Amino acid sequence: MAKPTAAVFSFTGCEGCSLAILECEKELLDVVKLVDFVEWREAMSERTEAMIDLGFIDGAISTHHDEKKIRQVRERVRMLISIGACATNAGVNALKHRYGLREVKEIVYGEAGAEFDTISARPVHAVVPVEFEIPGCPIQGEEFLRIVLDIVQGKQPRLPNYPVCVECKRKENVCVFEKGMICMGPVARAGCGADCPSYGAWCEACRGFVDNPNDEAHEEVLTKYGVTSEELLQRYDIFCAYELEERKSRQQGQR
Amino acid sequence: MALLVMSEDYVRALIGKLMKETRVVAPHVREGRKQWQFADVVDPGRVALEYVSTILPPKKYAFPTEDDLVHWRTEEGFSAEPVLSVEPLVLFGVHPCDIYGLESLDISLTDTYVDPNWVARRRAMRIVGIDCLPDEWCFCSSMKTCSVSSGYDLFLTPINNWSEYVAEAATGAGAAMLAVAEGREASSHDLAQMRAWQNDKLARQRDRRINTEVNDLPLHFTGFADSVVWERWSRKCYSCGTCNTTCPTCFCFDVLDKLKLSLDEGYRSRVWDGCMLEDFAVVAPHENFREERHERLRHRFYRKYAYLYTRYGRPYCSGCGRCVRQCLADIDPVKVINDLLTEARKEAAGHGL
Repeated sequence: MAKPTAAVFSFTGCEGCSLAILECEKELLDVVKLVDFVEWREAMSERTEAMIDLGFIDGAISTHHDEKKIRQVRERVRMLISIGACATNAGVNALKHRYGLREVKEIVYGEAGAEFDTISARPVHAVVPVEFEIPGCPIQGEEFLRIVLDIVQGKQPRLPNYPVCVECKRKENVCVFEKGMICMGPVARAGCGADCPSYGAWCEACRGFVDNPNDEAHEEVLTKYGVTSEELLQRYDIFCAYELEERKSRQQGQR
Repeated sequence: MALLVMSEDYVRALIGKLMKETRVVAPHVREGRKQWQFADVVDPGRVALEYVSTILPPKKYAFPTEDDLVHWRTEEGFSAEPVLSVEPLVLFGVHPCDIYGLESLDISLTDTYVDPNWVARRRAMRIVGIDCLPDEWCFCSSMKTCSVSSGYDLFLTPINNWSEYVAEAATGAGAAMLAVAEGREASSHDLAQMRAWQNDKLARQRDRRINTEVNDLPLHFTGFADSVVWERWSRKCYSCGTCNTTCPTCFCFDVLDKLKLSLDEGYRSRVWDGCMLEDFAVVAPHENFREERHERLRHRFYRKYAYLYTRYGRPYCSGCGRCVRQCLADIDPVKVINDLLTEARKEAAGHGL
């Protein structure tokens, strides 16, 4: 079997997920034995016109230019994989939805804002079909490598569908709530090894939610810990603003 | 039975002596809070002798959260070798509930298939038990696990307000520890204090009890699979599996293949799993036979208090209270069981019984 070709395309975001792949320094020489990178802005100057087997996308779709470009990329890629919070659920880009687009442009750029092309931030899957999504802000190198291995072997890659609490408890961390902070861990998708709670922070759900989070239970618990509904929304909003919008419209569709 | 009364200093000196021969693990304060963790002893002065409960139970030393089972390679043809690292270990300062937990896993992990990793590590393990006082979550008196008569080499009961400990050796290994320990002879007054300790433990749980005898639990669970109790409590449940992860008697695991990027070598490993997690019961072709939250909650309770009880003759619950102590939603087995008993009584009254 010929070695699959691979490319990384970056959209609206910090390109940190593209960097997270480069940071797999010890493994990169093994990775390039499995796939041939043919286009990757952050890592190489070469470009290609040919069909690409594996296309990794980081960044959200947040301008008309992004939208046009992702449609073109989709045409050239056999298997499209979103990587990172921005590409998988619009990430922090969707925070701007709290405001009107005109207001957002003015806040960020002042009078010059009128010149900027910005649209509502969307994940890649909201614009073109994607074959798989690797969440996280940024992605975990180890998980990326495992998923590349699965794909190369023709296996269906899988993500954990359990909350961060599982990995946090395995590390015997004192619960974030017991330290007087609040945490999204009980509803957030694991796979990060509970990094944030392990270093004294709280989980912001950068990997999005588990398939079926118990929001009612979480609201009850947060209320018990004295969190107001506005603060609650702010916690959900950091990385999951778009996911919440999506869920709301799905629920309305069901009614 | 060899008995010795040791001061706290002598107990710590004994830990120091054991450390010269063997790796010793014991409870330590975690992150400066009223939470503890079994960890390697570096300084016997830092071991927490008076503690309530560790976040994870000591089973992690025989059944780690992640454990490589098989290493395989294709260099010079396919070969696969079992992986097992075992070293002699002293578990120092184990509470009776956790000794009960280890003994429970001795039964279930050697039942139909003898788990070689568990057995090898347990054989290399010496246990020094220590008695404790319950907090507001412990319910060992309901499970009858406040004291144990086996499963340890040496057992320490605090007396004189934790200033001294009565050490009792139960095995040759325990007697060997006593032989190198310093202390004084036990008086009848010391022995009376030992008995008083047990009574105190029970008394402190007088208002926190299941409203039945523990050996009646399998009977009470019979016929209540459709009870409203399961749905009621599951509404609060995150399905985060914290009760599974922290449980001293849970032993379910998932098996994963970890392939090296070179493709010519890999490990088959197991990681802890939990029946409360949504994907626990997913089978091919992505069929989940416990898809609903209440089905998973019910299953866990039936495992603990009915299925395994019937199979092995003991509850698969040590009453250690970790599950509720760590549960953000306060799902408390004592309250759930009592709720079930109340519903059962209502139903019986409905039948004119």
